[in-house]
Amino acid sequence: MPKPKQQRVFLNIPYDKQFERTYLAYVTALSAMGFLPRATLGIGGNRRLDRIASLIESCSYSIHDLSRVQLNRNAPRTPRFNMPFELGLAVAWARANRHHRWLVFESVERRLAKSMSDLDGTDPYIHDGKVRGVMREVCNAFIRPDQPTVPQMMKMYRDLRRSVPKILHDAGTQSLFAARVFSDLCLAAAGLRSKYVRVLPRRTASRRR
Amino acid sequence: MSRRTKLEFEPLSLEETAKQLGIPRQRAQRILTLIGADAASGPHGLRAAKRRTVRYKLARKSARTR
Repeated sequence: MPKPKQQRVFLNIPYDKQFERTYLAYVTALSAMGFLPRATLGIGGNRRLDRIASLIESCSYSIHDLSRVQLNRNAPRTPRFNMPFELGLAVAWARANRHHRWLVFESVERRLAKSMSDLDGTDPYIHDGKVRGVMREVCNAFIRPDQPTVPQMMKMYRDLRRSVPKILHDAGTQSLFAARVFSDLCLAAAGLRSKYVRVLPRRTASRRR
Repeated sequence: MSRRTKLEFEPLSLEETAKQLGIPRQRAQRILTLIGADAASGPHGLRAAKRRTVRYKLARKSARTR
């Protein structure tokens, strides 16, 4: 079993065109918080489920966006069950391992109580389906000494969006959900963090005395 | 109980981030240059260029000592 890394966060989101802006917002906001986002992008094959489980186990936090509850457009029209299923895996893992924390994000207030009443008593973070909403809710979920502000995150987001065509071109794809594109976006967002977010100097033992 | 989780860890360095993501060094360098976050790139634009000139720096220095 891989050792959980504190910086790693498992990102459980729908991979579709309509979600691209929100996806970029998550990558930006989590990177601004100093996280290293991990996702199931690029995981395939027969043992996919095992690899998803070990990915969750290697992360200290997991973020589950349950805002995609609609039926998709292609026949046969079905809802996406991957996100709630992976949430179930994370909840089970967190019950066995107290170091794992899971958080639920939604775009519509009080919809979770209807779509997944098993989570009654869990307050989801409502991002309203907006980029700024994702930034706001990530700031509501986490606090750190060098806390980035939402305007700083928005600057990072705009720069990241500007870099998307070049990243897609280099990867030879049109999809933001390709494995290589995801890792490039994560690195770019981490670079933007070092550009825009002021890092506080660590207090040394001698200064504390 | 607070809903906010306090994060105590230090963010990874860019080198370590690239390593964890499995991005080769050259590609990582290209990405960081693209977004202007590599070591070589500083502030850019006309105003930043003006601030780098010797004439501007001397003018600021003389204004400080005046």
